[in-house]
Amino acid sequence: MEDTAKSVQELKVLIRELILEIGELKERVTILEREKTPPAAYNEKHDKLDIIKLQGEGYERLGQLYNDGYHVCPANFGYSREGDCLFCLALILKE
Amino acid sequence: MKLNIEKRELSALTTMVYRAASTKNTIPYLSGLLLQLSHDKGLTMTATDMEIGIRASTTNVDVIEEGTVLVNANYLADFIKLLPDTLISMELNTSNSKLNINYGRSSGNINIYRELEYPELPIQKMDFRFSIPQNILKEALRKTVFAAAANHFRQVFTGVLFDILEDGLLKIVASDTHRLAYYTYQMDSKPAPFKFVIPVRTVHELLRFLDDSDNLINIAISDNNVIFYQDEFLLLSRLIEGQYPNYETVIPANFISNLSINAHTLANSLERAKIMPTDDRFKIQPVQLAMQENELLINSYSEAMGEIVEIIEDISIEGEKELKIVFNTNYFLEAVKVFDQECENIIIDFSGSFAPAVLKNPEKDNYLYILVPMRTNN
Repeated sequence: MEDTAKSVQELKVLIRELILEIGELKERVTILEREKTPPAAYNEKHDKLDIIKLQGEGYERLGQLYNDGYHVCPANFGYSREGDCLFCLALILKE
Repeated sequence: MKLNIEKRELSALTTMVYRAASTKNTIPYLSGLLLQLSHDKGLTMTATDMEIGIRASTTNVDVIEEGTVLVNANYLADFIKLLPDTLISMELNTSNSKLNINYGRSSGNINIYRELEYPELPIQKMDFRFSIPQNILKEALRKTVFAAAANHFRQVFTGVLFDILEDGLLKIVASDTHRLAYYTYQMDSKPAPFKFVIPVRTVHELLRFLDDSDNLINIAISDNNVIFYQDEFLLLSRLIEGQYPNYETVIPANFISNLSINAHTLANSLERAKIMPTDDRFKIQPVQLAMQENELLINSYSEAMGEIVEIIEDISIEGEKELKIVFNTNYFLEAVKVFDQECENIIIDFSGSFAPAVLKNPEKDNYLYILVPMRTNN
């Protein structure tokens, strides 16, 4: 029983690491796209990303994950989201 | 079993109960309606699909011979509903296992199930927690249930939360994560703090029988179930498992401006915006609010169909006068309609174009609706 719990915990850590890694990959793709995309289109996309005000390194990471389309709130962490989530925004916009 | 009963009485009782019966055919007796007739309790009807269960009874019945019978719930309800408004006589014919129903000179009969298989409602180990006036419960559920999700991978979002705090404050909350409806009621009693989540379907069934009286309805729970009950009515429901997230954190505390607007005018304008078809590139239909110095522009747009721009001048704004914000039209309208039923003006607090807004009644502080804006590039 204890072994199972430990395995589940390890799996959760692994999933979170994978999500972060995917986020970083998406960020790199964005940078590559930026080099190939006309400035006007980029500005439009960039404006959208800037909508979430980021505060501190931890929140930046959460904000990035959120902008990549994942929930960052404790209830739904790591699940892909459709539209904005009140619980995620409460966490990200928290002052 | 033999009885005489007025059609209206029989139809009201059947209509109240039959919807709890299963509509699937996997376990036949769960699609049944159990009729129990006794001299002391009158006619009692029970239906359950094991997720919810409803039991109701009436003493406005002429009990000729006590007995129990199980018949198909949907068929009986449909049949009773269509009967003429007259005295109905029902009698179990044991020789052919049919329930005879006589009305005037006409009659029908319904095959019966073996009632021995019918499950008992698990209400023996329920722990009474508190009572609440029906009209309060009705108002609270009506104002919150529409904000719950139809489907969500976290089951708790498909239900309505009852959160009882130490000081006897009851909070009833529902959210699909894009919006949150929040109702509070200060109870006279101070039950021990606890919380539970009931499915949306349970709420809709409760709303069907709650009236506007202040008669108390009792609430008792066990580990897995809750019952709402009065003398002649009982509704049992399974509870949704899982921890409800901290909903207090999503209620914004700081605002940059607030708008006061006539709720009816706004509701009418949003009704018109709602008929604009949703473009394929959007999954949902948006409406934009643009506040200017002394007016509000409400804009809905469809590439395929056209555009509506409405200007409402009779408003007042405190704080920043200019702001643009886009909402899901339906989510916005559903809440505005709630306020339209109870207050002339509605207050909308804004924290920015992309931060959740709060809708409230300026004269009452027991209900809030928090709505996340949509992010669009236009």
